[in-house]
Amino acid sequence: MSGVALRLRGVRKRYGRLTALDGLEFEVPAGAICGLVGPNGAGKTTAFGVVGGYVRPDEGQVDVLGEGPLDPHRHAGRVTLLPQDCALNAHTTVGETLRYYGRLQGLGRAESRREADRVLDAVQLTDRAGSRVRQLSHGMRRRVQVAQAFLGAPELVLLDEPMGGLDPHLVVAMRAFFLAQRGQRTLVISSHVLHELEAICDHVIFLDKGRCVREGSLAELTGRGQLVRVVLEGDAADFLAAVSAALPAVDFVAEGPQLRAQAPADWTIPRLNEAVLQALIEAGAPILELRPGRGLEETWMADRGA
Amino acid sequence: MLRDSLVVAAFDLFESLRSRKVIVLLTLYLAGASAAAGLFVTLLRELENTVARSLAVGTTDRPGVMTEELMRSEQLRDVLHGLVGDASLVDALISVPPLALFYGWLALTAVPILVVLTSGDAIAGDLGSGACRFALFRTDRLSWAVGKLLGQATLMGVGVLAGAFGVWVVGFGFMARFEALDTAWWLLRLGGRAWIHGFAWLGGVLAVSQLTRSTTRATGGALFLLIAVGTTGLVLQSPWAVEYAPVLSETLFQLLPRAHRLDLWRPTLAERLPGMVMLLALGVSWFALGHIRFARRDA
Repeated sequence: MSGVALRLRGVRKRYGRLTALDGLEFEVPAGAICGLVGPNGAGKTTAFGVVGGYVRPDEGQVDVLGEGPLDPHRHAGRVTLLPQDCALNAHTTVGETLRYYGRLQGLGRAESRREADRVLDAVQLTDRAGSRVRQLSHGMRRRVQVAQAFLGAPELVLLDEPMGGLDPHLVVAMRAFFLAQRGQRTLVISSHVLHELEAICDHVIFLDKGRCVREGSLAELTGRGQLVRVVLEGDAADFLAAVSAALPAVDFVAEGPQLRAQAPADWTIPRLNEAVLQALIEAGAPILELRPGRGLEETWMADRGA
Repeated sequence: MLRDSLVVAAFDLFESLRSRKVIVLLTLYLAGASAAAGLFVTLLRELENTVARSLAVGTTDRPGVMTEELMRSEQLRDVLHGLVGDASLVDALISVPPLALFYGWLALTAVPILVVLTSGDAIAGDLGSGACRFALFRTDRLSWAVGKLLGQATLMGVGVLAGAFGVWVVGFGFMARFEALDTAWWLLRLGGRAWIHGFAWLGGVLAVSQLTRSTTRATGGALFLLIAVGTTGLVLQSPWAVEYAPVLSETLFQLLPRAHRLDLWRPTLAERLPGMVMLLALGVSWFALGHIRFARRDA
């Protein structure tokens, strides 16, 4: 899987006086699990709508899988979507609903039946195949909605707030399910829960006020390739002098109990980890935790100047 | 495209048939048609008994014999020929079993209202709930909307058949000399014609449904359409319009279902066909007008 799975160029969308997308541009590498991050009103859902073809942009170009804007026939079964705040038809059963979507994206009768069973198993709802959608809880409906996005073998899957309303244990299961998709298809996931995205994504796009303010790999954005954070018991500043003296090539910053170590460009993360841990142990520092890079939340807040 | 439309239509039909609202409305239509047929049979009995008493012959609890004899009489035929002025139409009407004739009239009148109530929110509901968004990246808008039209048209057919069945049961239970097969055949034929008439209205109703996300506005708009088109028909046929703008009023009148309703009673298919085609074309044209807007808007 190589190239660009999704590219937006200069996309604008206004709702009356409100500008939802203001020349939005970004690219999602093929095969990536990409997080779309932004505050409320940043334009994430509108961007999904534009890509999905149900929101008409005022300007700009959308290129899906290198074949122009989404065309349900040209891209049949290759692009799927989980929209936000949308209800499934309430009166048909879960199994019928999934078979309907399968048929609509080009699968045969038998294949759509098999696929419906498969995706229901993936979201742990096999036993509810015969239930009508209206009989399901909010979380179950959300899982059916997630399931429909994985019918067949889509190359690009767009998921708008897929974890919304799920129990913690289901969030864990869903995270594992998404991670299992790595290398098989491109996922674009929008969420407010940044630590969830951090656990899943390898590419991140920050949106604000309808624009892309930053994009890149998770390692680039969070400095995972050159930065480690060590949480100590007590004030990290107490050990700053000792570790700085032991490792003059490394740039240390102490913030409360946290010590950040930025490696020189030619260092690898294992080498940095080893050196920093050794220096801290020699300095007698009580180490609680060591993490690579900044958190996504921290990166986002730092970018926004908060 | 046709495959997708058929897939959408089948799903839409099953979804509608499981909706409490649609089930209630269809049941009400079935009950209403049966009750109206019961009323018709009661009136017929009173009429026949009145005639029987004035002729000093025995009365009956199961009417139909006298009416059938009357409809076969040359005298009535001559009177109706004089009134209608169209001998073939009178012959056609007289050959229809009275109960089927009654249902034909009832269905032509009631089906547009049934369509407004059952199908008014068929598209707007999916736009409002966002359910359409799960489908619209899988198929194009036209296929989806046409699928909804086909699904609702089939639902209308279910309603027409249910009403016909109720009327047939009433006739079977309460009428003397009730020709069950012949009446059933005529109920089906006239029900089919009522379906064609209803299709013209369905096109308009689903055109309105494509313009809004609000189910209330969609149903209200469809009801408004029903009233507005009915009123326009009356205005276009008023003596004033016929006198001052005969060509314009007649041309505009042809765009209304009412203009072609009478054609559905014609005896031969060749005579009925222009009206049927016009009604189907009106349904498709109204639907297409709504779709032009839907195709350009956010879904």
